[in-house]
Amino acid sequence: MMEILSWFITALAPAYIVYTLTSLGNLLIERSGILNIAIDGFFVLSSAMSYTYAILISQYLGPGELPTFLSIALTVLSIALMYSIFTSLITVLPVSQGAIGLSFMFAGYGLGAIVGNIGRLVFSIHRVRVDYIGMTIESSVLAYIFIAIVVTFIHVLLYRLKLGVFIRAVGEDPRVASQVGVNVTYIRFLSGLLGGSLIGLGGALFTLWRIGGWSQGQGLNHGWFAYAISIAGWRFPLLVAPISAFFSSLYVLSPHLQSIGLPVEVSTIVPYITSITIMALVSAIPKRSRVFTDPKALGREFFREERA
Amino acid sequence: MSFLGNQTVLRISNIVKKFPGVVALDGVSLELYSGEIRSLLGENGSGKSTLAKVIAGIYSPDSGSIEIEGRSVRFTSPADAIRYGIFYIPQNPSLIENLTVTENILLVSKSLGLLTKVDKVREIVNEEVSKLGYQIDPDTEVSRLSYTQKQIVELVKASLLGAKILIVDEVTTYLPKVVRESFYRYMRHMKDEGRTIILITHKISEAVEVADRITILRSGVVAKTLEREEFDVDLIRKLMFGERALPTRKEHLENYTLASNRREKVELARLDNIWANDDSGNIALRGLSLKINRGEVLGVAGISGNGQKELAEVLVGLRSIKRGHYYLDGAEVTNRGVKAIRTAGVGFIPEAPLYYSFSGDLSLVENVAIASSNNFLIRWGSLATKVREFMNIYGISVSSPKALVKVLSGGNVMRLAIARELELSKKMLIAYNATRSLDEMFSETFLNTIRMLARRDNIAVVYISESLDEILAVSDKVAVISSGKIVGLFERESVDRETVEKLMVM
Amino acid sequence: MVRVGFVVTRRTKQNILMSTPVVISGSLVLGLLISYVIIWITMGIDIISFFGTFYQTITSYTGLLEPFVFLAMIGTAITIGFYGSFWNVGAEGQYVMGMLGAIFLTMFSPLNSIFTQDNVLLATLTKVVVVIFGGVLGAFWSLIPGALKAYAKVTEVPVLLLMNYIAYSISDYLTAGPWKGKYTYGYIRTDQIPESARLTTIPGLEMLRYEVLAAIVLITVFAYVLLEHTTLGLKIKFLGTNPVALKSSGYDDKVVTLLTATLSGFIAGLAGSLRLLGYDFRLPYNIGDGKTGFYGYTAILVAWLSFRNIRYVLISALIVASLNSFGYRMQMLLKGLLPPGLSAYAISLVLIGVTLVVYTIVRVLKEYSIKLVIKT
Repeated sequence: MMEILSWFITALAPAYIVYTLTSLGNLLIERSGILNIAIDGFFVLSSAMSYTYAILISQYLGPGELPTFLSIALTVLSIALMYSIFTSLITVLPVSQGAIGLSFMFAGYGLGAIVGNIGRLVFSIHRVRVDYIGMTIESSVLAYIFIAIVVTFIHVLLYRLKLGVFIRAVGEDPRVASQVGVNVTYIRFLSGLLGGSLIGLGGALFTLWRIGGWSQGQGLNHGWFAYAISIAGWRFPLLVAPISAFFSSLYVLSPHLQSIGLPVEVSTIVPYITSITIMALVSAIPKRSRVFTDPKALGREFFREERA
Repeated sequence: MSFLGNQTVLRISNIVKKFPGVVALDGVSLELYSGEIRSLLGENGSGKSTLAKVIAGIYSPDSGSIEIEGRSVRFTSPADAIRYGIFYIPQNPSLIENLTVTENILLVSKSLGLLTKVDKVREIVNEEVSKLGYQIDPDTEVSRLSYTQKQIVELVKASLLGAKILIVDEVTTYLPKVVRESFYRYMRHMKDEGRTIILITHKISEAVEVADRITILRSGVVAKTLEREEFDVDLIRKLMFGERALPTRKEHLENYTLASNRREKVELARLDNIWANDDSGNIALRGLSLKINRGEVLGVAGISGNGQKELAEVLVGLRSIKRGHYYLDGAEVTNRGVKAIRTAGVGFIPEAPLYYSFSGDLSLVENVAIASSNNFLIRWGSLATKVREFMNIYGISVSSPKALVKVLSGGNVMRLAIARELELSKKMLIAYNATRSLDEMFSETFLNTIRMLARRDNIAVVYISESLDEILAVSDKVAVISSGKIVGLFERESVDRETVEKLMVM
Repeated sequence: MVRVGFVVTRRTKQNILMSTPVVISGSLVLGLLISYVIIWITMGIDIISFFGTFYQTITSYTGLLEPFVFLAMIGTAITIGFYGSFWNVGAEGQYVMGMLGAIFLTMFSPLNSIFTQDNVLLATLTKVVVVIFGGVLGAFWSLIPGALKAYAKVTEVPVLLLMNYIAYSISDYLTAGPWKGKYTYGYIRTDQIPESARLTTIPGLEMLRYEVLAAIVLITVFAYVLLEHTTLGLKIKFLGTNPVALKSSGYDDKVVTLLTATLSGFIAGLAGSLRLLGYDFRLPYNIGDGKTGFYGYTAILVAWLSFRNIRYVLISALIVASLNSFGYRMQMLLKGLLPPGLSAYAISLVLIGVTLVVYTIVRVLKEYSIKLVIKT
């Protein structure tokens, strides 16, 4: 029994950290009123990017913890920058958020395949060894502590600090916020930067820890799983944490459903069906408190001169 | 005047601002001095609000320049204007409904860094509110505040910011007298400190009462700036409306009283103990009951935010009724949907037709078709003819029936709404702040039409408005709404302005 | 201190340079250029190979015909959804459901016996039934996210995308399980449908079928009449631009959402059943591995280029068909220059994504003017 439990705790940690961080990133971006339809593309891209960075850096520095760490840091930086460009673009231009989001999603898929395959190419020539993060009790405990810190930080940021008030204000009503002097573009740039870092970190850990390698198409839909988690958690950090634990357990356990006789095709769709079901159930529940409601401006074009 | 007076703080020259289909400002130049209360006066559509928004950095002018204390400035956002001490209070409070009072005030506190704790600001808010002589819990969500309380929060914001130039845009028009007085007091206090206040209003009496100078705008240009000693109501009227003769309201009133007394009252619709929520889920209507008679204009008076919007929506079927009954033309229509009510012959003219009635991204003719085409295939030809008729009769200036509704000016959108909905009003018409974006001339015509509709066609009209003047001019019966209930009901003969005003702020 | 700010205003006069054809072709050129820069940075492809390949793609129009018809059909389906703000990114799944419907009726239902007889008329009529059944399954697949959107207010985009993968998995489950073929040379796939159930090739245009040609004409005419001349079409337009106005005119926005989703999914499903009867004849395993040609995804670009204007669907389909084939040709012609594992579709995705971003931004410039202001 203890063995099963310790296996589960170590197996859960990489999944839990990936989905929690990614859905927290999504939450930050969506709380600022940006419909994050691009999430899956960015997730696929960061997953591929971290692999290629790791290969390239390990080639120069040799395998070890440092190259792994550096590639994670570089991925976080790259994705954060791209996300902040994405969120600023949507804010400066009165543009359909869905359209730009979908475009970035497609571009992310394509770029991910190209970037990842470059890493593969280098790998096939030089046989570079990369130090992936191990499935140990120590790393798992660290992961849980890290998650607890990040969840607390995001919660305090959003609901106790002035920056959080600004983020929620531009998510509720960017026109009014801008009228009272809030620089909407700057705030959404910041939330893209912060949210993007978390999503990039999630994607990097997906490759360098949860999977331990890369193949084309990797990470596809896992961005959506994280998206579903943040919706199911009503975009509220303290709620996202436990819901993510439930989803992550499901993803970790669902391949094992085959051992009880379920066909592989059926067990793979369990997370998909669960995501849809939970999103539907959660959206249908009437929300009693303002902190749980959808940001009012989510997905709406922002044009300051609109005549109300 | 003190030595602080007469220093130019703001000079604007030749400001032009165009919107699709309309020139809102056509070369406006203006100088504002320190230590003055300047009133910008003009009828709806004269450009006074656009000018205010240009000064506040919300709109960017197409051409022209702005100078503050001799320095030329270029605003690309309201934040720029605020940096120069310009603060704008619009008619609809610029507060974010889902945030608390404290959080809203935090948004404007420039001096505090982004990592400031929210709790730190609560004390400051409490102090400022009580300094103005009011009490508001800083942790309340703004959506739970009344209109008046919201404007008080706006005032707190302005005073915290220490605005050098305060723009007050039609704010005082709908405030109860006590609060209005405290607004005036605050303005005079600011003036004494050498600051500048721009008071935007369409009420001549208000401008004459408080302003040091009045600048009158007409069709996007400055008609004239008057000094206090030149104030003269007739002159001002002439400058505002040009040479057009305005029918005074009294004449209509008398004609109308004669006619309305003759008919017996037949009930068309009845609201019975209606309960309904607003968009945020708070109770907006609390057991409201109302009888609506054929051939009668029922005016509903009240201060904005007391359930008028929800009442209008309940009447047209857009808002679900939590408790109570709604009967229309002999049948119960409670929560039966819009279709049941509309097909019974009910027209609806809302204050924001681009929200309720039209799709701005579709053409005029499509927007008329959606309300009147019942066949599977649409006959575009005959609909286009109809829209052209509307354009002629109601004076809607647009190139063709195929133009998109969003290129119309606010006034023209409202005319189109009136044209379409009057035709649909076979039995009842619901009007909700319908004259808000109309100019004074067309408002008069519209009010006349409504009276005629009731008198000649025996139609029931529910006229919901925040303007008591209009209600008193048009109604056979006046109902006063407050906190989602009808708190008073008067026949035209027995209505008394002061009593109604008292009930409104109850 | 120098600060910059953007001034965004709505244009009061329409810019002639910004007419729709100019916007579309301009975005295409700009999109290609930016894609080239990306591909050059990542893979070092020279500009002559890149644009030379593009030239070859657009000049070999016969190769474009097949992707063109399917992109046009599915593009029409998605465009109808776009009119009603139903962002149907699930056409891929609806297309697969259409294929499943077609193979089920021809192989695994009592209708199978009709195709083994020699009755041409009956077989033709049954084919129509089979094609329509594929549409019905597509409609059903689209109705699930449609209903969730209408009644539970769930954003449809993630649901639709997740549903695509569920459709793939259902197809794989059936192909590997109950529908696994007997004559497959050891491959996991279904058997082929009977000869008499297949569509008829047009002599001289080997990549076209008479039935497919008829379908594309019918679908185009139907969509045009629906959106330009019927009350239902008008209701869909109001749903997409101002659902409150739709409601206050007395219509139920939920019902119109369901109808929009149904129509959109139905046409995508039709494309799937036509594909199976005319080209594929059987279901492969791992269908999500590029075996659908990803038409359901690529057609999103078609719908987006012709944004809410049904008149531009065919021309957009042609443009996208060229971009799509471009990716495949690059992979074929530049094999030595590309990383070996890279799929052709990945290149197409970059082209599509970048062109979409550019087009979306240029469309904004059509309506708004944007000035950068430097303040000192």
